[in-house]
Amino acid sequence: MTAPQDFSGEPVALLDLADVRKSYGGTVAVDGIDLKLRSGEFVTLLGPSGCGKTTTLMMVAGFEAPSGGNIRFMGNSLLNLPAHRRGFGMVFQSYALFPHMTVAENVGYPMRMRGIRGAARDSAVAEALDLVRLADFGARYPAQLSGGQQQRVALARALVFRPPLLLMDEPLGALDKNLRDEMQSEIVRIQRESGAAALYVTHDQGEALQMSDRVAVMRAGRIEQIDRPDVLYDRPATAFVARFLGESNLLPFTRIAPGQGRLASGLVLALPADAPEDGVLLLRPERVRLSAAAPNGALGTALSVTEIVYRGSERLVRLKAGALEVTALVPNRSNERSFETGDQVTAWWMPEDCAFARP
Amino acid sequence: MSQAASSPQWLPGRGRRRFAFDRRLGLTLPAALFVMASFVVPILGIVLRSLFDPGLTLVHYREVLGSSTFLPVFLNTFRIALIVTVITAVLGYVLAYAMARSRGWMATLMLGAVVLPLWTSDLVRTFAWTIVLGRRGPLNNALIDLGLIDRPLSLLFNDIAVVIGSVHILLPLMVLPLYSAMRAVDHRLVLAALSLGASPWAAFRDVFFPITLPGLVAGGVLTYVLAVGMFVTPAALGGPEQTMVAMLIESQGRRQLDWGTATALSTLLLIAVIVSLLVARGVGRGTLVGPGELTR
Ligand SMILES: Nc1ncnc2c1ncn2[C@@H]1O[C@H](COP(=O)(O)OP(=O)(O)OP(=O)(O)O)[C@@H](O)[C@H]1O
Ligand SMILES: [Mg+2]
Repeated sequence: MTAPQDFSGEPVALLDLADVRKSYGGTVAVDGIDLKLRSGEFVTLLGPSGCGKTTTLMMVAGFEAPSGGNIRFMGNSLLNLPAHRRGFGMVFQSYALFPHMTVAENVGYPMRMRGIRGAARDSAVAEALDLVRLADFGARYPAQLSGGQQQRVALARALVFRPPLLLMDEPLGALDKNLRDEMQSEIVRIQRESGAAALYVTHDQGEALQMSDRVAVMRAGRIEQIDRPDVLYDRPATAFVARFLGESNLLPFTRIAPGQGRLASGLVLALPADAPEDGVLLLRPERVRLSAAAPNGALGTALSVTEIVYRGSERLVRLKAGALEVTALVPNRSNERSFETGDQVTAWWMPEDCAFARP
Repeated sequence: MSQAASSPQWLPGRGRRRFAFDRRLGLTLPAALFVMASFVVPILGIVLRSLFDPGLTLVHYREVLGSSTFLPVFLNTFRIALIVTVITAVLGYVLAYAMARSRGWMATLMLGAVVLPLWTSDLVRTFAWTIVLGRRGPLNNALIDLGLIDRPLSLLFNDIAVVIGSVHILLPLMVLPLYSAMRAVDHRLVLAALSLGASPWAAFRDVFFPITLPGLVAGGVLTYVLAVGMFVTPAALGGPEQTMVAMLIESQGRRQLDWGTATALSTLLLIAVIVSLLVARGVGRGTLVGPGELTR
C-alpha cells in the first residue's frame, strides 16, 4: 500500500469520489460525481427521487461497483475492497435491524465480527446504547420498539465499532414529522460526539439545510452544486438548486442597460450593479418586503395583491403586475399593517437580497 | 349529555347491535362444522374403532405391540422418514436459495420445474424410478458405459431406492415454503450484516439462515409427516426390509380385513408422529430456533 500523499499540499480527503459513474444496462444512474469528504464532516446528498443518491451511497458502501471513476478512502482506492472489509457504519431507511436478535445482540454484532468478546464487547455495547439514550433497552427485540427507538438502535449499531465514516440513506424517511425534527438534532449530536464523518442521503431540503456542514444538490446523476447550506440557499448556482432549496421567485431577465433588466414578461426592473448579462434573478419570498413606497436605495416595483395565505407565524402574499408574479412571505407582527386582496402595494428589496442563478 | 343518550342514528349499526354476535357465529359455524366433519370425526372414528370390539378393549393394542413385526416396521418407518427429511431439507434449501436469488425467466422456469411434478401422480413418478433404477435401466447403463462399474448395481428394492423416490416426491413441498420464506427476507438485512463487518458466509449464518429457519421448519414438518405415511413409494421401490407402517396398515385392513389391528396401528402412528414433532420442537427451541418470535 502506498502512503496517502497529495503533492498540492492539501490534506488528503477522508473520502474522495472522482468522476464516479454507474449505469445499469442502458440507464445511467450516476453520471460522473466528484466529492471530497473531510474527517468529521457532515455532507448530505440532496436531490429528487431517482437522481442517484442511493446508488452513490451504495458504491461507497461497497454494495455496488462503479462503472467508472474511482473511490478512495484516506488515499487508497476502495474499488477492490469488499463491503465487509470497508468498516463504514451504515444506517438504512428501513433500519435493517436483525429481528431475531435483541437490541444488545444487534449492537454487539459488529464487535462479534471483530472478535471482541466478553466484558470489552459488553462495555462497548453499553456505551453505544448510552450514546443513543437507550441504555435500558438492551434485552428487547426490535419488534418491541417504536420507530424512533429502532432508528436509534440502528445508529448505535453503526457507531459501536467507531467507524471513521457513517453512511445514512434517508434514515428518517419512515418517521412522522415531530419525531423527525427531534431525530435530526439527535443524529447530528451523535455524529459530532462520535467524531465520524457522515455521508447522508435525503430528499428533504429542510433536513439537509439543518443537519449538514455541506450539501451536494444532485440532479439526474450529477452534482449540480455543493456548498455550505447558507451559501446554497442564498447564492444558488442554478434555478434548479434555488427551487429545490425552498420557495423562490425566479425571474429570468436580460440586462438592457447597467442596472436595468427586462424580464420575460416584458417588464423592466431595476437590478443591482453586479447583475450579469442575463440569467435568473432569485428573490427569496422572505426578502421581499411590502409597503406603500420603497425606501431609498431599495429596488422594487408596484404590484397588486392577488392572494393571501395565512400560515400561522407568517403570511404568504401573492402579487401580480401583468405577467409578473411575485410571492412575499410577511411575518405576522402586531405592528405591521396588513393587506387585503386587491390592494396596490410596492414590493421592494435591497440590492444584496438579489441572487443570480443560471437557468 | 342528552345527545349521547338519544343514540344518534348516523352511527352505523347502533340499533342492530344485538344481532352482531349471532351474525359472526353464523359465519364461522359452517366452517367449524366442516372442519369437524371432515377432519376430526374420521380421526375420532379411527381411534374409537381401535378401542371397541364390540366392548371397550385393549386387545388390538396388545396384539399389535406383542407382534414381532411391529417394532422393526415402526423403527424402520421413522428411520427412513428422518433420512428423507434431512436429505430433502438440504437439497430443498439449496434449490430454494438458487430460486430466490434468480430473477426473471430463470426464476419462473425453476419455479415451474419444482411445481410441475406436483401435478403428476406419485404413482407415475414412483414407477418411473423403477425404470430408471432398474438393473438394465438408464442409470446402470450410463455408469457401465462410463466405465465406473463392471456389473449393474442393484439400486432397487432397498433403502436407497425408497429414499431417492421419496425425496423426489416430497422435494416440492420442502422447496415451496422455503422459497416463500426466502423471498420475504429483506435483502438489506444481509447488506447491513456485511456493512457491520460480517463476511458473506457469516451474514448467511447469522442473518439469512435464522430468518429463513421457520420456512425450513415448516417444510421439514410437512416432509416428515408425509414421509412417515408413505405407501406407494416404499411399496414399489423397497423390499421386505423397507416395509413401512402404512403398508402394514394396508395389509391388515384391506387384505386381512382386520380393522381392529389396522386402526390400532393408525392410532399408534398418529401418536408417534405427534410425540416426535413435540420432541423436535423442544430440542429446536433450546438450540436451533432461538427466540419465540420466529417460531410462533
Ligand atoms: N438495480 C438497478 N437496476 C436498474 N436501474 C436502477 C437500479 N438501481 C437504481 N436504478 C436506477 O438508477 C436511478 C437512480 O436510482 P437511485 O436509487 O440511486 O435514486 P435515489 O436518488 O436514491 O432516489 P430516491 O430518492 O427515490 O431513493 C433511477 O433511475 C433508478 O431507476
Ligand atoms: Mg434512494
